[in-house]
Amino acid sequence: MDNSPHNPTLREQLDAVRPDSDDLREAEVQEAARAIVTSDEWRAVFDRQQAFDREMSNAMQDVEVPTDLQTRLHDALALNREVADQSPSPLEGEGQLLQRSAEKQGEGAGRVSHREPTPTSLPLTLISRLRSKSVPLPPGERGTAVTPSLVRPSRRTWMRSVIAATAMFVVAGLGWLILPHGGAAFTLNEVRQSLPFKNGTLNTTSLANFDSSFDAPLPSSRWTSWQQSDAVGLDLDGNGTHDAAVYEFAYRGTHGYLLVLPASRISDPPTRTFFNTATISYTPATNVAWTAPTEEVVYLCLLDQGQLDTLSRVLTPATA
Amino acid sequence: MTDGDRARIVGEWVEEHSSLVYRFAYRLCGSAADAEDLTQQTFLTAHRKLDQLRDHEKARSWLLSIVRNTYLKSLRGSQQFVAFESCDGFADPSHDQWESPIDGEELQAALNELPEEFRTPVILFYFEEMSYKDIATHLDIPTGTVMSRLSRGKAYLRQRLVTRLGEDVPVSSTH
Repeated sequence: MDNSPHNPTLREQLDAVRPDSDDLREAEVQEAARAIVTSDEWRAVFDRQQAFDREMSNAMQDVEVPTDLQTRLHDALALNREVADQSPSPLEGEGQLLQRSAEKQGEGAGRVSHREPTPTSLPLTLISRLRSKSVPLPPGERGTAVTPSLVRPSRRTWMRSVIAATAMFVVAGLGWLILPHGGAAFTLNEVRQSLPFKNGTLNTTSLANFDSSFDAPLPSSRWTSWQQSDAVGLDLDGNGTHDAAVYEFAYRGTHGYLLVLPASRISDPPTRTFFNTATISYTPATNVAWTAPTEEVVYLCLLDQGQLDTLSRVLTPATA
Repeated sequence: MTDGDRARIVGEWVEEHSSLVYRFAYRLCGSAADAEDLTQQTFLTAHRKLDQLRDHEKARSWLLSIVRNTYLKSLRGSQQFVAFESCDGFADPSHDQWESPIDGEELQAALNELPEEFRTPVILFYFEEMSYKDIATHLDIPTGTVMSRLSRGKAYLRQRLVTRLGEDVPVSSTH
């Protein structure tokens, strides 16, 4: 649907104008701007629409916030930092921290009490953070509320601790396998030069499926629809894990590959953040690179058939 | 910036912006549990990526952009695309009268009924007060498509809210 030209109707133009804004000066809504000046009927429609929009904007903010939300957020942040500060100990493993946080959640559950206070009830996001590196908790911060107790543990507690510590080591081991381990940084040009080109075409037949050693999202759902097969991986530094995910794509006679690289591995990441504003390079094939700051990845799009303009036209947000 | 500085700054943002972040997350997700998770993930991400924000005066919009991007990212792979034709029921309403103020829960129920491709632009328009051009940029779709989706999404909300309250509210034709 996005690929076909669309001329906004008068009603659509009116609906696009925000209350108390300068939107009526925009070129796309000039028909509406004229209509509300020349027609009392459209002026009335516009005024009602603006009034409705103001009501809606107010209603959007009408959400009851859990009373203990801030406390739980502070606890989550403190726990996140504390876990990174904890060295593995049989008396204070991740399991205990999870349990403690879960108990805190249970205690603090007010209007929004959706989860049982068990370790597994923690959001995946927090568990993910618990497994990642972080910063130590500064003295006097809120997180001191969950500092390890110095009281001698009971036998049951000790056994639980041993089990928790074992689980922690297993999780840590899995985390080490799953999470990126850092490594040498490359320039974009080095990446380009290391690509296995054969007869002017990227030769992906010898590449293994991407090992998911880092999060390699596509830029948008549109790219997903163009994807031709599962991603394959490139091991640029020869350490056995993939440093780039390579997606083959095709769209209307344009065929190529989209490389996704961790931004931390690129020493000269592009400053542009959109495909359509990125600078074009022609070595070893027509390509553009851009950065997705929030995803912490760099995209490198190479064509072996077609023109970048074909993609640019459909990826540029503009009135068709 | 020291670790203590980072913790202090994000801690202050929790005090200042957590309610806003939660409300935005709730409107996007449609459930309190998911909104809490999204809120928590937002502040953890902010703590982790704090160095990327040069101007801390823009913390509010930066946090909302993290909410938005995290939410949109979560949709990838699970998003159900609704055919445009299936939304033809979003006819322009013949009446534009509604009960004031609009109830927040009624609104959420109506939002939850909207297909994702209509719901997100509408929320960005009303909650973040984004222009249609900014919405187009952030969602990576043409402005004409944004205008169409906004119009149809808003028409549905008008119709839905008025219809739900129709027995109590006198409805008159406006044009």
